[in-house]
Amino acid sequence: MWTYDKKLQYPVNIKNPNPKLAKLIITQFGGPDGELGAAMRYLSQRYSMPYNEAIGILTDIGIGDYFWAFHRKVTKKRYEGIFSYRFCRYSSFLSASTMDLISNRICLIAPSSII
Amino acid sequence: MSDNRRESLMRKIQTYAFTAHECALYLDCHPNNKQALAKHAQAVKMMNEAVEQYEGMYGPLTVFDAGGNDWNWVKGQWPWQNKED
Repeated sequence: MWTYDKKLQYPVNIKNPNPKLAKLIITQFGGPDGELGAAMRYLSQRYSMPYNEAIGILTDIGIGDYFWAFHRKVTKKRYEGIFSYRFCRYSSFLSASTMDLISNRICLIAPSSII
Repeated sequence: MSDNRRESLMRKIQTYAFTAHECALYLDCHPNNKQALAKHAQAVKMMNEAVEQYEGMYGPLTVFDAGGNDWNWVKGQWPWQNKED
Protein backbone atom coordinates (compact mmCIF):
# COMPACT_ATOMS: atom_id res chain seq x y z
CA MET A 1 0.00 0.00 0.00
CA TRP A 2 2.86 2.32 0.56
CA THR A 3 6.11 3.18 -1.10
CA TYR A 4 8.92 4.76 0.83
CA ASP A 5 11.47 7.37 -0.07
CA LYS A 6 15.10 6.90 0.71
CA LYS A 7 15.19 10.04 2.78
CA LEU A 8 14.50 11.31 6.27
CA GLN A 9 11.53 13.58 6.91
CA TYR A 10 13.98 16.25 8.03
CA PRO A 11 17.72 16.28 8.62
CA VAL A 12 19.15 14.97 11.86
CA ASN A 13 22.42 16.42 13.14
CA ILE A 14 23.07 15.53 16.75
CA LYS A 15 25.70 17.66 18.41
CA ASN A 16 25.48 16.56 22.04
CA PRO A 17 24.49 13.03 22.97
CA ASN A 18 22.17 12.76 25.95
CA PRO A 19 21.41 9.23 27.21
CA LYS A 20 18.67 10.40 29.56
CA LEU A 21 16.73 11.95 26.75
CA ALA A 22 17.32 8.94 24.56
CA LYS A 23 15.75 6.78 27.25
CA LEU A 24 12.72 9.03 27.40
CA ILE A 25 12.38 9.04 23.64
CA ILE A 26 12.38 5.28 23.38
CA THR A 27 9.47 5.12 25.81
CA GLN A 28 7.55 7.43 23.49
CA PHE A 29 8.28 5.13 20.62
CA GLY A 30 7.48 1.69 21.99
CA GLY A 31 6.20 2.19 25.51
CA PRO A 32 2.58 2.33 26.66
CA ASP A 33 0.77 4.94 24.58
CA GLY A 34 3.81 4.89 22.32
CA GLU A 35 3.86 5.98 18.69
CA LEU A 36 4.20 2.47 17.39
CA GLY A 37 1.13 1.26 19.24
CA ALA A 38 -0.87 4.29 18.19
CA ALA A 39 0.09 3.83 14.54
CA MET A 40 -1.01 0.20 14.61
CA ARG A 41 -4.31 1.14 16.22
CA TYR A 42 -5.09 3.83 13.67
CA LEU A 43 -4.21 1.56 10.78
CA SER A 44 -6.42 -1.18 12.17
CA GLN A 45 -9.36 1.01 13.14
CA ARG A 46 -9.68 2.75 9.78
CA TYR A 47 -11.38 -0.32 8.32
CA SER A 48 -14.42 0.18 10.50
CA MET A 49 -14.84 3.93 9.97
CA PRO A 50 -18.22 5.00 8.59
CA TYR A 51 -16.89 8.15 6.87
CA ASN A 52 -14.26 8.50 4.15
CA GLU A 53 -12.74 11.51 5.92
CA ALA A 54 -12.17 9.38 9.00
CA ILE A 55 -10.58 6.61 6.95
CA GLY A 56 -8.32 9.13 5.27
CA ILE A 57 -7.16 10.81 8.44
CA LEU A 58 -6.56 7.53 10.28
CA THR A 59 -4.52 6.23 7.36
CA ASP A 60 -2.47 9.39 6.95
CA ILE A 61 -1.86 9.90 10.64
CA GLY A 62 -1.24 6.21 11.19
CA ILE A 63 1.47 6.17 8.58
CA GLY A 64 2.59 9.62 9.72
CA ASP A 65 3.13 8.17 13.18
CA TYR A 66 5.33 5.59 11.51
CA PHE A 67 7.32 8.48 10.02
CA TRP A 68 7.92 10.01 13.40
CA ALA A 69 8.34 6.70 15.18
CA PHE A 70 10.96 5.54 12.72
CA HIS A 71 12.58 8.93 12.60
CA ARG A 72 12.87 8.89 16.34
CA LYS A 73 14.06 5.31 16.39
CA VAL A 74 16.61 6.11 13.75
CA THR A 75 17.80 9.12 15.67
CA LYS A 76 18.08 7.19 18.89
CA LYS A 77 19.81 4.25 17.31
CA ARG A 78 22.35 6.28 15.46
CA TYR A 79 23.28 8.62 18.23
CA GLU A 80 22.94 6.53 21.41
CA GLY A 81 22.00 9.60 23.39
CA ILE A 82 20.18 12.54 22.01
CA PHE A 83 20.20 16.13 23.11
CA SER A 84 19.24 18.19 20.16
CA TYR A 85 16.11 16.66 18.71
CA ARG A 86 13.22 17.99 16.76
CA PHE A 87 9.88 16.36 17.15
CA CYS A 88 6.52 17.34 15.86
CA ARG A 89 3.37 15.45 16.56
CA TYR A 90 1.09 14.90 13.62
CA SER A 91 -2.46 15.50 14.65
CA SER A 92 -5.40 17.43 13.39
CA PHE A 93 -5.03 19.77 16.35
CA LEU A 94 -1.42 20.77 15.98
CA SER A 95 0.23 22.44 13.05
CA ALA A 96 3.37 20.41 12.73
CA SER A 97 4.72 22.57 9.95
CA THR A 98 4.46 25.71 12.08
CA MET A 99 6.33 24.06 14.90
CA ASP A 100 8.93 22.86 12.48
CA LEU A 101 9.49 26.31 11.06
CA ILE A 102 10.01 27.93 14.44
CA SER A 103 13.38 26.40 14.97
CA ASN A 104 15.36 23.37 13.99
CA ARG A 105 17.11 23.09 17.31
CA ILE A 106 14.24 23.16 19.76
CA CYS A 107 13.55 19.92 21.53
CA LEU A 108 9.84 19.32 21.63
CA ILE A 109 8.24 16.27 23.06
CA ALA A 110 4.49 15.86 23.08
CA PRO A 111 2.84 12.83 24.60
CA SER A 112 0.92 10.57 22.29
CA SER A 113 -2.81 11.04 22.28
CA ILE A 114 -5.15 8.17 21.98
CA ILE A 115 -8.37 8.34 20.05
CA MET B 1 31.27 21.10 -2.55
CA SER B 2 29.13 18.41 -4.07
CA ASP B 3 28.13 17.48 -0.55
CA ASN B 4 26.67 20.92 0.03
CA ARG B 5 24.71 20.73 -3.17
CA ARG B 6 23.39 17.33 -2.24
CA GLU B 7 22.41 18.52 1.22
CA SER B 8 20.66 21.62 -0.04
CA LEU B 9 18.75 19.68 -2.69
CA MET B 10 17.71 17.11 -0.12
CA ARG B 11 16.62 19.90 2.19
CA LYS B 12 14.42 21.27 -0.58
CA ILE B 13 12.83 17.89 -1.17
CA GLN B 14 12.21 17.40 2.52
CA THR B 15 10.62 20.82 2.85
CA TYR B 16 8.25 20.41 -0.07
CA ALA B 17 7.35 16.85 0.85
CA PHE B 18 6.58 17.97 4.38
CA THR B 19 4.38 20.80 3.08
CA ALA B 20 2.52 18.47 0.74
CA HIS B 21 1.94 15.94 3.49
CA GLU B 22 0.76 18.62 5.87
CA CYS B 23 -1.75 19.85 3.27
CA ALA B 24 -2.89 16.28 2.73
CA LEU B 25 -3.70 15.87 6.41
CA TYR B 26 -5.74 19.06 6.34
CA LEU B 27 -7.51 18.13 3.13
CA ASP B 28 -8.57 14.78 4.56
CA CYS B 29 -11.12 16.63 6.68
CA HIS B 30 -11.63 19.64 4.42
CA PRO B 31 -11.71 18.09 0.96
CA ASN B 32 -13.09 21.12 -0.86
CA ASN B 33 -10.78 23.83 0.40
CA LYS B 34 -9.42 25.50 -2.74
CA GLN B 35 -6.50 27.20 -1.00
CA ALA B 36 -5.26 23.99 0.52
CA LEU B 37 -5.63 22.18 -2.79
CA ALA B 38 -3.60 24.86 -4.55
CA LYS B 39 -0.90 24.79 -1.87
CA HIS B 40 -0.70 21.02 -2.11
CA ALA B 41 -0.39 21.10 -5.90
CA GLN B 42 2.33 23.71 -5.72
CA ALA B 43 4.30 21.82 -3.10
CA VAL B 44 4.10 18.60 -5.12
CA LYS B 45 5.24 20.38 -8.28
CA MET B 46 8.26 21.93 -6.56
CA MET B 47 9.06 18.64 -4.88
CA ASN B 48 9.00 16.72 -8.16
CA GLU B 49 11.38 19.20 -9.75
CA ALA B 50 13.80 18.91 -6.86
CA VAL B 51 13.50 15.11 -6.84
CA GLU B 52 14.29 14.98 -10.55
CA GLN B 53 17.42 17.03 -10.01
CA TYR B 54 18.50 14.99 -7.02
CA GLU B 55 17.93 11.61 -8.64
CA GLY B 56 19.80 12.67 -11.74
CA MET B 57 22.90 13.41 -9.69
CA TYR B 58 22.77 11.19 -6.64
CA GLY B 59 20.73 8.15 -7.42
CA PRO B 60 17.22 6.85 -6.85
CA LEU B 61 14.95 7.86 -4.01
CA THR B 62 12.33 5.16 -4.49
CA VAL B 63 12.56 1.54 -5.59
CA PHE B 64 10.66 2.40 -8.75
CA ASP B 65 13.37 4.75 -9.90
CA ALA B 66 16.07 2.25 -9.08
CA GLY B 67 17.39 -0.40 -11.41
CA GLY B 68 18.89 -0.15 -14.83
CA ASN B 69 22.34 -1.56 -15.24
CA ASP B 70 22.85 -2.47 -11.62
CA TRP B 71 20.89 -2.43 -8.41
CA ASN B 72 22.34 0.76 -7.03
CA TRP B 73 19.46 0.98 -4.60
CA VAL B 74 21.34 -0.94 -1.92
CA LYS B 75 24.60 0.81 -2.62
CA GLY B 76 25.37 4.14 -1.13
CA GLN B 77 24.13 5.78 2.01
CA TRP B 78 20.93 4.99 3.77
CA PRO B 79 19.20 7.97 5.33
CA TRP B 80 20.19 7.20 8.90
CA GLN B 81 23.85 6.72 8.11
CA ASN B 82 26.20 9.58 8.57
CA LYS B 83 29.03 10.52 6.30
CA GLU B 84 31.47 9.08 8.81
CA ASP B 85 29.98 5.58 8.54
